[in-house]
Amino acid sequence: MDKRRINGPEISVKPIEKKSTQPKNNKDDGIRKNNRSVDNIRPIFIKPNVIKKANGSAYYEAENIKIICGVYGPRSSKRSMVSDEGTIYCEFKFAPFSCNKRCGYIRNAQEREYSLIIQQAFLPAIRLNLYPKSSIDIYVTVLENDGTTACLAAAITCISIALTDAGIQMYDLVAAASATCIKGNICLDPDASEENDTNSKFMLSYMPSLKQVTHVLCTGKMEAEQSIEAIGICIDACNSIKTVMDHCLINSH
Amino acid sequence: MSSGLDLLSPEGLRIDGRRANELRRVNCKTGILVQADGSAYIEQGNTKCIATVYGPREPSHKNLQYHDRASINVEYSIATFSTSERKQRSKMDRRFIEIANIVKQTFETAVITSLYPRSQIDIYLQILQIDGGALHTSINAATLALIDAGIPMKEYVCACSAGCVEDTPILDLNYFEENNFTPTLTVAVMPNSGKISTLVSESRLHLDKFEPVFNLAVSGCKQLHSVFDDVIRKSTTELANRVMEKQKE
Amino acid sequence: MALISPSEKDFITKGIEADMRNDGRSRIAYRDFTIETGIVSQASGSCRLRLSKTDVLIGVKVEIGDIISNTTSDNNNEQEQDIVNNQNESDKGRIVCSVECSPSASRDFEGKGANDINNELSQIMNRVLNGPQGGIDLKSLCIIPGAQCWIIYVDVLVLDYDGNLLDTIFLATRAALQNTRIPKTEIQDIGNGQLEFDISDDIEDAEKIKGWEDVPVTVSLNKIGQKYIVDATAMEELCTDTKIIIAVNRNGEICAMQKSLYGSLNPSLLTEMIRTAKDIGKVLIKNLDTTLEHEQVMASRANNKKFGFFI
Repeated sequence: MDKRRINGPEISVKPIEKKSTQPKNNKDDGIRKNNRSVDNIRPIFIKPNVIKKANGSAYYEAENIKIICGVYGPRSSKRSMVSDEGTIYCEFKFAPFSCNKRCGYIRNAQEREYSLIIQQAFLPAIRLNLYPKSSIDIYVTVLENDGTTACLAAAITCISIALTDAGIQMYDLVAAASATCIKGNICLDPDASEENDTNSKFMLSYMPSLKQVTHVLCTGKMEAEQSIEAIGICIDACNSIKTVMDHCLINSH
Repeated sequence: MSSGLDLLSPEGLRIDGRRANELRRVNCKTGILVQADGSAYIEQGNTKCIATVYGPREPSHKNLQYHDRASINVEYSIATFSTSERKQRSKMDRRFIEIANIVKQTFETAVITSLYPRSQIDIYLQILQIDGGALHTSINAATLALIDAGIPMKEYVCACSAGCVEDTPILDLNYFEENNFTPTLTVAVMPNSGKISTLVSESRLHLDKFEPVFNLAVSGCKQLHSVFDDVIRKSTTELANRVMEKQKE
Repeated sequence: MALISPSEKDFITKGIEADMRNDGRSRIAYRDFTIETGIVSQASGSCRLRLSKTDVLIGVKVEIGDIISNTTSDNNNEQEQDIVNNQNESDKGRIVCSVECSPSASRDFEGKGANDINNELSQIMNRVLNGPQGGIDLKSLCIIPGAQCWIIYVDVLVLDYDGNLLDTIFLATRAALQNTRIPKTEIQDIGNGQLEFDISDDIEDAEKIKGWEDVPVTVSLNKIGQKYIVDATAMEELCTDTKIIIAVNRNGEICAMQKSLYGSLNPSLLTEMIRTAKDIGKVLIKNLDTTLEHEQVMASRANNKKFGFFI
C-alpha cells in the first residue's frame, strides 16, 4: 500500500470511448500503417545535459516517444558491497500519464524486469573495473510511451548519451533497435498500434564499433530463420542510430 | 454440536476410518536433497513436509551471533498448491513466523548448541501438502533432518497432536477434525527422558479432559519415536556398509 | 554467495574449449531427467522433474475468475494486470505463473534473497505462456465472454539446484499442463441475455487443456570463453559470462529469446546458438513426450501405484 501519497479511489474505470470512424488513409498495398516503409525508423532527437543536478543526463524524442534519463555516479552507496568492480543500478519507470492506461507510482513487475534488462545491456559496455566500491545509478523515466519495446530500445540509446555526458568510461556506445513481424516482414521501430496488432516483439542492443550484441529480447512466435533475419536488420538499424548519437554528441560541445 | 457425531461414529470410527487412538500412516526418508547438509521428507497421512538443515555455518547477521553457543534460525513456508484453494502467502506472514518461532524454541533445548559457539544452524521447512497437523509434522521432519546433518542432539524430538471429541480423546487430527471446533493440543516430547519440549494449544479444553488428551499425545509421540529410530538406523547401516565397501576397494 | 576459484574457472573454460566437460558430456549434451506427474492430489495437475540434481515441483490449479479487460483499473493484483496489459480481448482466459525458490535449494534463497530471481523467472514464464506463442488456446479457457474465464495458476517450487533452472521449469510445466484436467462447464441462458454456468463434478468429464502440445520448452545456452554449452551445472554457470535463453516449440519455432548476465556476443555466435537451440529443443520435446507416454502406460498397468515424491 502506497502510504506516501494521497491516492485516488482504488478501483476506477476508464470511460468507454466511442470508436471514431476515421477514414483509412493507408495505401492498400502498404504493409504498415501511416505509409511507413518496412525499415523506417522514426526520426530521433537527442539532447544531452538537460538535468543540471545530475552528473549526466539526456532527453530523447522520436515522434511520440519521449524519454528522459539521469545518471548519477560513480558514487558510493549502501548497495555496493566491498568489491573490486563497480555496480550498475538502474530504475526504469513509466510516468503514470505516459501510457494508454494509468500506471501506478510504484514500479510494477514489468518495470522491474526492464530495469534488470537495461542493467544487463550495459554491463559489457562500461569499464566497471575503474570504479571499485562505487555504484553508477541510472534513472529513466518514460514521459510518453508509443510502443513498449520501442521505448525500451529508445531508453538504452538515451542512457548511452547520458553516460557519456556523465563522463563515465565505456568501451563503446550502446545503440538499441526494436522490430516486429507484420505479415511475414520484419518491420523496424513499431509504434503502439502496430505492437497491439501483432504478437512478436524483438529488441536488440548492440555496440557498433566493437560489433558485439549486448542484449537480445524476443517474444512471440517466429521461425528460427526469421529471428536471424531480424537480428541482421536490427544491427543495421543500430549502425544508423550510432551516426545520430555521434552527431548529437559532437554538436553538443 | 452436530460435529461430534460426524467426527466419531457410534462404532468408534473416525471420518478416515481410523480408531480414536490410531496414528495416520507415517512414511519418512532422510538424505533426499544434495546441496543441504541434512534433509528429510516425512508424510503423515496426507500432510507432506520437507525439512532442510544447513549448518553449523557462519551467521548471516552479526547480531544473530552468540559467543557461547550456536543460534538456530528457522524458516517456514507453505507451497501455494498445498491447500485445496490456491492462496499465495508471503514468507513474512505472521502465522508462519509464529510457527517458525515455536520450532526454533523446541530445538534450542534439544540441540547441543554449546558445541558450536558463534555459528548458526539453519532449518528450512517446506510444506507440500496440508491435511492437518502441519506443526507437528514440521517438528518431526526437522528432527530427522538434524540427525541426517550429524548435528549432536540430546535426544529425538517427536511431536504429535491430539484432540477431544465428546469426552473421547483422539490422536493425530486431520484437516477436517482440526477445523471443526475440536480442541487441539500439539505436544513435542523427548521420548527417552520424557521431557516436554513444546506444548501448544489454541483452543478451549476443560482441565478434566486435559490429562487424558495429553497422555494420548505423548503415547503417539512414543510410537513415532520407534518409527523414526528404525528409519535412521536403517539408513545409517546402509551408509556404514557403503563406507566399508569403499574401504575394501 | 556462491564463489568459484580462478583456477577452477580456468580449468572448466579450457576443458570446454576442448569439448570436454567435467562430467564427460559434450558441449550440446543434456543430462538425464526423471519425471513423475499427478503427485499433488489437491492440484488440478502436477509434475516433479529432476534434471540430475536440479529438482522442481510444479502444481497447476485452475480457478474461475473475472475477465479483466483493458478498461478496468485495479492496482491490487499487479501481476495479473501486467499480463492483461498485453492482451486486449475480452474472450480469453489467462495463465498466471509464480516461481518460488525454496531456501533448501541454495543459501542465497534465504529470506528476501530469492525475490529477484523469483520475479525474473516468473516474468519470463508469464511472457512465454500468455499469448499464441505459449501454445495454449486461451480462447478455449473463456466461459462467458466478457465476464468469466478459467485462470490457470502455475506454481513452481524449486527444491534443489544444480544448474539449468529455467529449462527444468519449462520441461516440468509442459508435463504438468499435459497432466492438468479442467472440469467441464455447462452454460445456461436464464433469460434477459444473462448467462449462468454450472461446473460438472464428474472427474471423468474433465478435459485436457487445449494446445498443451504446443507449449514450448527453453534451451539455455551458456557462453564460456569463446564456446557455448547447453545444460550447465552450477559450477559451469559460475564461469558463464553470457547466457541466452531460447524458447522452442515442437515445430521448431522460436517463441521467445532473452539474454542475461554481464557479457556480450558476436552476432554470428548468436545466430549459431539460435540454430543449435532449435534442434536441441525439438529433440528435448520428443524425449519428454515419449517419457510421458511411457509413464501413462506404466501407471495404467501398476494400478496407479504412485512412487510419491522421494520414497
